[in-house]
Amino acid sequence: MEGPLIRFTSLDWFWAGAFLLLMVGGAFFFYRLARRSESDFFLAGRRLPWWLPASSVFSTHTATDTPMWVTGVIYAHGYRGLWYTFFTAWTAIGSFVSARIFRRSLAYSQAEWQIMRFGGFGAELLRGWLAGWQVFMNMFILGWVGMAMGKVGALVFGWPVWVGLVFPTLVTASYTLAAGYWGVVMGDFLQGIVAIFAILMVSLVGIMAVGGPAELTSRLVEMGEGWRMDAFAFTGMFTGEFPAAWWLTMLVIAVVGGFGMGTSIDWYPEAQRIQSAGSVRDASYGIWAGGAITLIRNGFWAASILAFFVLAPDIANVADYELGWFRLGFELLPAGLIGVFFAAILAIHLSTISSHLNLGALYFTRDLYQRYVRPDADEKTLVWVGRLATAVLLLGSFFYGMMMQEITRWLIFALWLMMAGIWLPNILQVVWWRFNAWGYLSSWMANLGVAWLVVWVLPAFGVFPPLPDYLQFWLLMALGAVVFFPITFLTKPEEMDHLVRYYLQTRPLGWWGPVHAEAVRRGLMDEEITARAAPRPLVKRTWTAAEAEEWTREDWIVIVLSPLVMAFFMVGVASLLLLRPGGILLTTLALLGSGAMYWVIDPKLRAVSAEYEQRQAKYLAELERGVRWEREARVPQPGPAGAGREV
Amino acid sequence: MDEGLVTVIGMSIAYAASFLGMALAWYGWKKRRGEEEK
Repeated sequence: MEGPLIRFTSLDWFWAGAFLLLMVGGAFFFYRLARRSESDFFLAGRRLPWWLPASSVFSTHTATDTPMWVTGVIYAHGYRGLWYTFFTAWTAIGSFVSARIFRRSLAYSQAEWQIMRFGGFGAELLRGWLAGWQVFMNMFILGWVGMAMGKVGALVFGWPVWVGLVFPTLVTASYTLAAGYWGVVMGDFLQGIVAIFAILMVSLVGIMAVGGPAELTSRLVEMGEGWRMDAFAFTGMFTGEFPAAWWLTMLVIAVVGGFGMGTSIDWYPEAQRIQSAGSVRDASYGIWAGGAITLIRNGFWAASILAFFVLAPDIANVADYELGWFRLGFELLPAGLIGVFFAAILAIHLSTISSHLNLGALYFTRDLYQRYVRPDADEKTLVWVGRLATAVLLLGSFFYGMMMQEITRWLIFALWLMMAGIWLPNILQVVWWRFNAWGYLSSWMANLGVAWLVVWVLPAFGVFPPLPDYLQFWLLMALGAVVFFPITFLTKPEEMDHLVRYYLQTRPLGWWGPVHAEAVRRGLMDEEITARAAPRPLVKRTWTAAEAEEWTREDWIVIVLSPLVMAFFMVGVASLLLLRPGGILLTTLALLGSGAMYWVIDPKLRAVSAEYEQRQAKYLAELERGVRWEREARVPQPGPAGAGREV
Repeated sequence: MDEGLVTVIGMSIAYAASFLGMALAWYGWKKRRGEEEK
C-alpha cells in the first residue's frame, strides 16, 4: 500500500475537529424530540418545512463513494458521462406525482403503502417482502459506503481499511441511535452546507489550477479532446462505447419512472423524507429541490474533473483516476482548508450512513416487529426497538463491508439494471386500478428468474452473447411483463371497498375510472370535474379545495417542464463553469423554467395542502388502528348524495 | 468470477432477505386469523 497522500497541520486538525463537533453536536441536540414517539423517531413528527427534507435528499445522496463514481464516469466519458448521474431526475416528475400521492397515503414506508394500495393476504405478503428487501438493502448500502470511507482513509492517511470503515460509522451511529430521524435530518442540513462549500471550493480551485475556464477549454481542444465538453457526443445510435440508445434508455428509466414508486433505489429514503414533510406542498418542493441541487452538484463536479483530466490525462487505471476529485482537494488546497475539506468528506459520509441506519431500522420496527410480532407495543418500546435495530444494522454493515466487497460492487450495478423487471410494475401500481397484489408480487419473483437467464445462464451457455446493459433492461422488462400481466388478469381485482378508500385518500393519477365512478355512486365525491368543466384561463391560479384535488393542465405543465429544467441545470452549470455560451443559455432557461413552474403549480399545491391537512388527523388515527390490526371503518354504500363524506 | 454471475448471486442474496420478510408476514397473518377465529 502507498503511504499517506497528505500530512495534516495543527490548523487542519482544528478545523476538521471543529466541523465534526458542530455536525455531530447539532444532531445530538434533538435527542429529546426523538424519544417522544415512533413518529418522532422515524419521521420527525411529520412537521418539517420543505428545505429540511431537501437538504436531507441532497446530503444522503452525496456519499463517500459518490465523488469517486462521478469522477470515474466523467474522466472516462467527458460531459456525456453526466447522463450516468441523471437517474436522480426521477424526482422531476416524482415530486409532483408520486410524492403527492405517497404523502397523502401517510404510510411510514413503502412497505406500509402496499397494504393501503392493495388488500388482503397478498398485500400482507408484499409488505413483508418489501420490508425484508429494505432491511437488507440498507445494511448493504451501509457496508458499501463504509468500505468507501475505509479506502479513502487508507489512501489519504495510510490507515488500515477497517479504521475508516468502523470509526466514522460509529460516530454516526451514536447520534442516530439517540436522536433518530430528528438527528438525521438536522445533521444532514449542517453536513449539506459543509459539503456544498467544499464542492464549490474544490471545483473552482481545480479550474483555476489549469489557468481558468478559457485555458481549460483551449487545452482540451489542443489535446484533441474537445468532445469531452459536449454532453451529447454519442458514438452512434447503437454502436460505439456511448450509443444514443443507452442515453434514451436512461432518460426513460429516470424521467418516466417518476410516475411510479420504487423505480429508483433512491425512492425508499425519499419516501421517508416525503412523509416527514409538514404538508403535501412541502413534500413536493423538498423532493424537487433535493433532486435539482444533486444534479447541479454533478455539474460542478464534472467541470473540476475535466480540469483534473487536463492536469493528469494519461491515467489508465480506473481505481487511480476515480480519486481525481480527492486529489484536487488534498493536493491543491492550502493548509487549514485541507482540514475543512476532510471535514466535508466526513460530512458526506455521516449524512449517508445516518439516513440508511434510520431507514433500515424503520422497516424493521414498523413493518416487521410492530406489524407481525408485537402489534400492541407501546411508543417507548417501539423507540427502543428502533435503536436496537439501528445497532444490529450497524454490525451487519461491518460484515458486508469487510466480507463481501466483490458482490456488493456488482450489486450496485444490479440495483438499477437488474430491477428492470419491476420498473413497469412499480409504475402500474400507482397509475392503474386493475393492477393487483398478485401481479406485483409475481413481477418480483419473475425478475429474479429472468435476470439469471438473461444476465448469466444463456450467455454462459452460448445461446446469445452478453448484451449491452440497455438492451438487457428492455429484454428483462418485456419478459417480466409476459408473467405479471396474465397473473394480474387471472386473479381478482382488489376489493372495491378497499380501492375506494385508497382513492379518496390519495387521489392517484392515471386509469382509475371504475373506482372514481364507484366513489361518485356512493355519494363520496362529486361527479362533475369542476376544474376542467367551467370556462377557465390557460393557467388557473385560484383554486377551491375540490378543484385542486383533480389532476389538471397545471400538473401536466410542470410534468413536462420539470425534467427539462433539471437536465438544463445539470448540463448548463457544467458548461457555464467553462464559460461556454450554451451553458449561459441553458442555465438561464433552467432558472426561468423553475420560476414558471412555481408560478403555475404553487397556488394549486397550497390549496391541496390546506384541504388535506384538515383531514390528516383522522387518516393518521386510521393508520395507527390498521398497524394494530384493529378493524377498519366501513366505507359507506350508496345513499343520499354527500351522506358518506365523513368517512 | 464472471461479472454476470456475481450480479445474479448478489441479487439472490437480497431476495433471500425478502423471502424471510414475507415468511414473517405469512406467520403474522396466520396468527392474526387464528386469534379472530377464536
